[in-house]
Amino acid sequence: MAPWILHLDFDAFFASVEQLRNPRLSGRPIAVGRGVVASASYEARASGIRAGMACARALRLCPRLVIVPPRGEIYRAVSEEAFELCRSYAPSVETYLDEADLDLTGTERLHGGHAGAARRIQAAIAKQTGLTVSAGLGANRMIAALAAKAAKPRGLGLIPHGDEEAFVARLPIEKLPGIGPARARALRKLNIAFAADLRGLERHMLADLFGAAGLVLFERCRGRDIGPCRRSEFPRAVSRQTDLAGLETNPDVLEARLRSLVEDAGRALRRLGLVCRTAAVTIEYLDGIRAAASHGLAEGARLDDTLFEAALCAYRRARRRAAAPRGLRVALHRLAPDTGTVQPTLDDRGDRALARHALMDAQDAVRNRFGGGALLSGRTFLLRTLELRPSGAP
Amino acid sequence: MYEEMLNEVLARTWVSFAPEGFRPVSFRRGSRRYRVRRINCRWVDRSLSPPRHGFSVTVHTGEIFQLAYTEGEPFWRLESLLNEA
Repeated sequence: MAPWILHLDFDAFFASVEQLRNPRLSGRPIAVGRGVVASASYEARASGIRAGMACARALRLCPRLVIVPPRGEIYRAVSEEAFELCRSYAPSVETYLDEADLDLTGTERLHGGHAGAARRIQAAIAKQTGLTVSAGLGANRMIAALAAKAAKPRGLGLIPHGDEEAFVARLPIEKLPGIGPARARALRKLNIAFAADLRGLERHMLADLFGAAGLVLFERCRGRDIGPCRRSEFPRAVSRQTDLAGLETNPDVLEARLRSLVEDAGRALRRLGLVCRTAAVTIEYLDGIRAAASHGLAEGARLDDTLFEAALCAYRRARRRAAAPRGLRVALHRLAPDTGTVQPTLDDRGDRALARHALMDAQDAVRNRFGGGALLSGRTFLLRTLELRPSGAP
Repeated sequence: MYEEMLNEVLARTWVSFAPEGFRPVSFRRGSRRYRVRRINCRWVDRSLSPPRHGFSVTVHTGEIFQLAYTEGEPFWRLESLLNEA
């Protein structure tokens, strides 16, 4: 049976939700983000504003730009509601925050054609949420995602079976999933600009260049992707990042920033009812170089102190340069549902462990109601004193 | 400030129940009653237990408020006021 995957991708998702939430913003250039643009409306994109850009630079490009702080819990709720609809169309649905993959294989007779089903889903989501999604249909997840990207906004892209290799061949290498700026630079030095050029490299050459990711790229540049759709009940990672603009080198302040990010991510983790077993830290420098490290935990963690210890280990391993970082990102990986089991440590009796978890929940309740800044830990208090310091003061 | 967090418990909220879901019709904040002119956007945060229903509404004065109702609670909350920019 020929596989058919439908990829759905909200158009300018965060920005579109904000324009719905506040109709005064509709038709205006807006960006959602705190320090870094996470999502830009199409009106803002017309001025060259893109996700990942520093907000200060975005404002220089478009002085009329309205920058809106993100409300992750609202975006997640809106997307979950929209993608719940998809579950009535496909037996296997894998969802992310603003994207979903539906395995439509074998549903032709039920839906009377995949393109028709895709259009009906697009219309149903638009009716329910007021938001538009782009859709892509193809033989695998990568092809479907690339077809959806090519059809943005609001469109439906369909790559017939057998056309995958030709479709991928003409794509610039940056468009292939798994090729970021660093890999693209490495490949362009080898005179490789398009996916078709990448096919000239043997499997072992790509493995030498990029390790295991090279083997995946060997398949992808031929239009092949073997990952199945799995129903995911929760995100793959919970992450938070901040823009430091390359102005901070004080290790105490940088560690306070890290703690603040961990606390934000930890609160999101607990709100989702999850625990994590890996904390990863990425440091980006002004010259574009990134350093990343991760630290694994023996068991699932949900307390800020435990998460911070792991993130701090990763941070200290990643921070090899004295230069001021441009950005800092914390991501909590290997997520699993929180079963509520509290494991006492050797130097900690069970009732104390329970008390620490209860304290964490109480802190979350205060922060959820009054904002993240309502309660500060000792380490992040330093950031508050910096915010209150008059400009120019030492 | 773009979004002013209020987190107020509303003294009284009038709600319409219909097959497609419930929605606020008007609410009293302090001594003033606001009539909901338009529901801009609605969502349900099911990651919370119990779930919380959120509504962005434009009221008769033109202001845009965000209201929230947590299932099982005997009151609605006025979460925030959305400003121009």
